[in-house]
Amino acid sequence: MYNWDLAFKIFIFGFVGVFVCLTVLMFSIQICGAILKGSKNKKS
Amino acid sequence: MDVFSLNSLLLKTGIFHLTVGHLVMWAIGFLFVYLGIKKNFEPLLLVPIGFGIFIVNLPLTPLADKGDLIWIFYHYGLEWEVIPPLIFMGVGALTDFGPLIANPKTLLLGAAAQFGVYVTFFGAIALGFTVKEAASIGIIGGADGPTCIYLTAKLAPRLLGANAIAAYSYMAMVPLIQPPIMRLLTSKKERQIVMKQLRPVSKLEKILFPMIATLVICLLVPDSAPLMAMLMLGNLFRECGVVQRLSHAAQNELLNIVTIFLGIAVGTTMKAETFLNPQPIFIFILGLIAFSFSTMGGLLLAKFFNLFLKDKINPLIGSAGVSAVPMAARVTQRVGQQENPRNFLLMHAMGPNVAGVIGTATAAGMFLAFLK
Repeated sequence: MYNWDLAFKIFIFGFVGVFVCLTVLMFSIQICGAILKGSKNKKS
Repeated sequence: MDVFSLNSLLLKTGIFHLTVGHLVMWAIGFLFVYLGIKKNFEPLLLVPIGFGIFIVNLPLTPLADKGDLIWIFYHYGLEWEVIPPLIFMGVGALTDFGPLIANPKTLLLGAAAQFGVYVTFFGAIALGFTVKEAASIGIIGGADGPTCIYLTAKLAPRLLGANAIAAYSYMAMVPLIQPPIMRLLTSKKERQIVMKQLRPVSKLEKILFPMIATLVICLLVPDSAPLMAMLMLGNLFRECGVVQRLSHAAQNELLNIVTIFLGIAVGTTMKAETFLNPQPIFIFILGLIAFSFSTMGGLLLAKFFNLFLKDKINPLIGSAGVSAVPMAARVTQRVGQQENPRNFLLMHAMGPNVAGVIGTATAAGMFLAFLK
């Protein structure tokens, strides 16, 4: 019969997982941008 | 038996092996070719897919059985996972991630637009598909053809034809499907929001982005690496400025060549004996549900953001989180301009639009991590 238990786990871990990955990427871009901006200001 | 007798010769022709199923599949093949040529619906794919459907349903032709010509395209192109990552390389070389780098929170809109993928995953299980098949149907909601084909070839190869057709059909129908949902979920005032101009993005940021994105996503979801790594390699070709020949080849010759093999290989999965059953109809219905919920997911998260943000974002850009690039962003621009002709949302919508590509590849990687 339907494998709802597995499906529910995949839903939670999958959907939340996509959010977590893209949130980490978002912060990585922001941190990198801030570092580049800081080094640019330091040079000037 | 005398092999040269009239009877045996006639039996060696395809005519005596034709079935009603073959004729129905020819009609479907011709319909796709017609839609591609006459209506300009994703012609680069629908024309080879349509022709592929036609030839694979010619009886006795040595094309799609093991060792035959098109079986070789299918086997080495799709089963060996070569074609979708190569298409991703071309897509990466064509994509400007600048709007995403300028406004990284649009990544979350791309994540929210995967909502339809998971809603449909449940729907497909309820309709009796296995968990693996349900995952391959759900990913249609990401509106990303290569990712859908990649995941389906790995998890549910028998659904490849139906899933690919559904994904590309709905991508072509973005301008029809999305606007009513966009209007339903947003007020006139929200659709008129004018967003602050995006900051300029430096060349160094654009070069670093593919490295960082590959590092983060492939470390967190290793199964998405074939798609993500190729997407970002193509983008690095584009942005680094020193390999224009490679960038040009990835955007043009390579992309065009693999598109031919992809189209014909997908078309030839649609044999009458495997395709003519109720399942493709369910897949088309589920695909529409997936697409609609993905649009809703992006829109609703954008509205949620506006509860907290000082500089409001136009929620219409959330709908571009489905990764039909750049069609979904163009639809956002068009719907926005219908409310305020001086509102230019295209570049703002490109952020969630390309984030959707990353989001769908990540979702596919997640499914593979759980199910392969």
